[in-house]
Parts: sequence; C-alpha cells; structure tokens
Amino acid sequence: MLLLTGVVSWVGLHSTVIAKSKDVTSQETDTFNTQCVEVQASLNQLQQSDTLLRYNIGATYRGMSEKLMVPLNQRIAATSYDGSELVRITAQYNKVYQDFYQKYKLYSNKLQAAIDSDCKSDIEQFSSKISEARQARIDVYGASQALTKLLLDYRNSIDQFKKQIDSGNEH
Amino acid sequence: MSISKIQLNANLKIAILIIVSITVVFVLVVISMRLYYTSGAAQLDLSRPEFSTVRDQTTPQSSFKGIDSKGEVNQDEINKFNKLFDEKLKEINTIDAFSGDVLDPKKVKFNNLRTPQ
Repeated sequence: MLLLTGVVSWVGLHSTVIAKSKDVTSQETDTFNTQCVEVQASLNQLQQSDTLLRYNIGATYRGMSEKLMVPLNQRIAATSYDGSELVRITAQYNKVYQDFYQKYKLYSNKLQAAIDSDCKSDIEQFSSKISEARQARIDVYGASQALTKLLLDYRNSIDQFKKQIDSGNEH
Repeated sequence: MSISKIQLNANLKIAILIIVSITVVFVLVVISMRLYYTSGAAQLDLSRPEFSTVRDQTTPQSSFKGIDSKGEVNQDEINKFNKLFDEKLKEINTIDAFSGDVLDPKKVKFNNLRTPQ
C-alpha cells in the first residue's frame, strides 16, 4: 500500500515539476514512460483492492440493517414499547447507505477514467483525473464514517431502550 | 407471379428478418450494458476478468443469520442482539473502510521526474 501511495501520489505533484527543457534524452523519455506504466499499474491495483473492500464492507453494512436493525424494529413494533427513535435511525441509516452506494459508484467511475486516460501523452489531464478520483474517494470515506456514526447512535439508543424495558415503561 | 419472383421475395423477407433481429439484439445489448454501468452493478461485479485475483478474498455473508423478526423483546433478547451488533460494529471499525488518502499528491516520492517535451 505504501508503494501504491507513493507511486500514485507522484502524479499529483508531477505536473508542478515539469521540466521545460528541450534537451531531453531518450533515457529520460524511457524513465518517464516506465513511471507512467507503474502509476497505471498502481491505479489498477487500487481499483481491485477498493472493489473488494466495497464488496465486503457493503455486505456488512447491508447485513447490519437487514439482519439486525430492521428485524429488531419489527419485534419492537409488535409490542407496546416505544421504538420510534430506533426506526428513525434505521431509516436514516438506509438513506445514508444509498448515498454511500452512489458515492462509491462515482468514485469508481472517476478512477476508471484516470486509468483509461493516457499518462504519456497528456500528463495534465491524467493528474486532473487522479485529483477528481481522490476527492471522490474522500467523499466515499465520509459516507462510510456517517454510516458508522449512525450505527453507534443505534447502539446508544438500544441502551436507552433497555432502560425502558427495565422500568416497564410501555407506550 | 413467377417462381423466381416468389423466391426473391422470400429471400428478401429472410434478409429483412435477419437485419431487424440483429438491430433489435444490438439495441437491447446497448440498453443492458448502459443499465449495467449506470446501476452500479459494474462497479461491484467481481466476476469481471480484472478482478480474478481478488475474487476469492470476499467475505461470505450468508453465514451471518442475524435475528428473527418474530420473537420476544426482553433483556435477554436485547443482550443477544447487542452481542451480535457489537461483533459486526467491531468488524466495521477494524476495517475503517476507505480511510487513508492514497491519492494524496503531497505524498510524493518521484519528484525528480521530468516530462519529456
């Protein structure tokens, strides 16, 4: 991952250190082309690892809602306890999950656009596309954090709900 | 109508049928491919050849049963629920998905490079 970070991140600053010299040797050209290939390979690697991560974490996020939160809400709905806060958080969670889904889709498309663009012929465009993919990935992380926060909120509400059961405070 | 004319008409109809069929198939393929990419399915499809190396690293989710939507609501059941919930939450926190700014331009290592002009 460190190598990946290094190789990929080179591109961002690369555009700022472009040499304007006309006396470029073929060795420099070869080096540049090799680096381009390395960066492209790293992006492919990142795409693979992120797709796998998205697949696994997405299934876990969905499982939390479909196999835990929703069934518990249904159980509570059948009783006279007040589970409205739990239902509210679950609805919010499902909404944010959709947001996470869309943001990942956008990120994946932007990363693919960076992979498809030609580093050798247009380094500026290549850098710009990586920059866009970077921002999109940050957005995905934000949505992921929002989901985790809602899970913690749900967990805290469960503790409150337990107190309701303790006190036998039915609605 | 002569036999050759009937034959010509039949051939023409077959040709039109084939062309129309191919066109319909082509349009349907374009629509399905568009749906495949816009729905988000393509971004998660690990059966694509480029993901062959990571395909076997998926976490099986079918083993996680969760809780039943029918049952009692009491301290024991809530405690059981909390145990399952905490396990999954710990899993999520451990992964900390998409953290780390791997595309950050500041983490440069190849700053001696020069673009050939």
